Amino acid sequence: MNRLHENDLDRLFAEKFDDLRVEPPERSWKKVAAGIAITTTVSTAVFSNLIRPVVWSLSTIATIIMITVSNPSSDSEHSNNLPAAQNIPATNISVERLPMLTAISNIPVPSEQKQVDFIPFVIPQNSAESVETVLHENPALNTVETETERTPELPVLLSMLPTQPISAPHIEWQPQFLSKPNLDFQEKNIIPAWFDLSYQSGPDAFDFGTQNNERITSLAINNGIDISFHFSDFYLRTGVNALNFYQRNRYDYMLNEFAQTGVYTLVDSIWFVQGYDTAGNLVDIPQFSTETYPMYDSVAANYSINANNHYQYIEIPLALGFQKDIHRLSLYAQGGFSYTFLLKTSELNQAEFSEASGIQPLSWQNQSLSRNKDFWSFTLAGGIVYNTNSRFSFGAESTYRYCLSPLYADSELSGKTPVSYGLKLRLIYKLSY
Amino acid sequence: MSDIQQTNTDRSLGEAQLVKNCLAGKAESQELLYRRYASKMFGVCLRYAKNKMEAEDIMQEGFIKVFQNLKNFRCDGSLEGWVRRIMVNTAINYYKSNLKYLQTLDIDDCSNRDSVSVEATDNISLKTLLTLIQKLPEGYRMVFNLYVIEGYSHREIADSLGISENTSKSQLSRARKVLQDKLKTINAVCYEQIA
Repeated sequence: MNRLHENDLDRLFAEKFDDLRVEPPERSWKKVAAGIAITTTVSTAVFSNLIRPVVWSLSTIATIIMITVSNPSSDSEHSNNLPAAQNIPATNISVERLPMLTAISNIPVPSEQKQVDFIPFVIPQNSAESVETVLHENPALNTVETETERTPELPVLLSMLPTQPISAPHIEWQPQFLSKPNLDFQEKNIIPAWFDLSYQSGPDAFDFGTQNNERITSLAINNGIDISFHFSDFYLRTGVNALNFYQRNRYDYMLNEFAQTGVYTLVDSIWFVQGYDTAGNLVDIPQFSTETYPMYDSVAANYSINANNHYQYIEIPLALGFQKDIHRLSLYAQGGFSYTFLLKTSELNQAEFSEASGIQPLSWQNQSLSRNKDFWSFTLAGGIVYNTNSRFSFGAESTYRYCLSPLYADSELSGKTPVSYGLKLRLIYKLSY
Repeated sequence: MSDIQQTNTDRSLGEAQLVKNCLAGKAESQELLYRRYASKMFGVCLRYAKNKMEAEDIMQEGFIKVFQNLKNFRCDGSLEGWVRRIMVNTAINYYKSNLKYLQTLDIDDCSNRDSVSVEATDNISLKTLLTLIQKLPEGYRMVFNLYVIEGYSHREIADSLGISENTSKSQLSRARKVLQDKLKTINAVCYEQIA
């Protein structure tokens, strides 16, 4: 019985394949070059180091906090963030002056005002007669009085002056017109609550961790509209965000093709040589000359193709944030939760593939993993906004998302919840309260 | 003439400088590195794949990993050896990721249908041997390649493929038997005379 020894078999293959060189098709380099370009711009830049984006996010938040804490002059008075802050000085009037506002508002305004030249005057303390003297010496004031006959309150008040001396107020409130009211008090100011609308857009890089020592990643693009309700230095934000996933999936298909299935050998010639058998008799021993030919047959062949698939999610965020305004800049940090559900899936099917390629596969199998219909995530974000005026602002925001539930419904990735790192550009329109 | 000079320059370009240029993002150096090792690595991938298309996929994926991780390459070792390890690991990952889609073949299914006659071992073409390996069931092929060609131990194979050592030994034994039967069928092997 003939038997090939294991060592001989191993040596046969080891020697043959030790320096096997086969020239690959030219298209391979093009695919590698394309792969390098893609991974350089997406995977390598974003995912190659897991630490980098974390440090980036944390440093952004830390910078915001440090600047905010280390800048005591950052008060709301100089802010351009409040809606129409420069145009509504009353919003910054201190608490102590509120009674004065009430007193002013109680004086009726003539229904038909006339443009008059204002003549500053000062009412001397404890001298009702002086009022009459002033009125006598300033006929223009009398003119005002006569023209406002339909508003009897002011003449009545003035008529009381001679008989009821005015007690001297300790607060010398002189209602002089000032070009710039001096309301620079350090007391607590009243800041109204207000809203803003914002549009945001930017990439989000999802990291699913490693599977079989290979890092699984996806790129998503955000486009969303948010509304924020600001109160004091805090705000609540919600809205709707379209999250468009782009993922490269592999499809396996099978074809029947005519291919080499083996080899066969033909005997080209036969000749005889003389020799002796075991009994010592002279015999003719046949010798063969052979040649090997390839053998072809119809066989099932497996192929793969990659396609970029699109998954559209809708995300509804709810976040609580803290914002500080420094002159024209606003720095903020926020945290919250978001609910995301799958709206639309666009994957390559067999009919589309056949129509595009002209190939009719015997079988078609999508190797991508099925996705859950929805998932929850926890989000952290920090950013900076530049207030161009009292209405419009724009800024940038870095985000970190930790998914609380997996995106994939089955497979080995089902237990893994991805994280994502994003950068968004924001355009904000502020609504006055 | 200029092509010849260019070729000589390419060959003389040291591995360290080549790696440095690739890391600097020079496209021509990346292509040079690819072309320097592509034929060798394609030969490696062909052994692990069941057909040429699959080998191409593995090699492309492997080279992308090579360029992605080139910064981690320490120039004190052989670049070719490093690239080869990446290719083998890529092939292993490819096998593992497709494990559930692979069809399991019985040994009987692998019996050779070729009609052959006498041929000496040395005359067996490389292509024939490659075909034999490619027609092995996936698991047998992986273990046989890793053990016989790459020189892995059964412990290392078990760790890499996520199987037990006994499974590795068993699959190697079966792979050898399949190959022996095929070689015997085509009558092109060296036989050891057993008395």
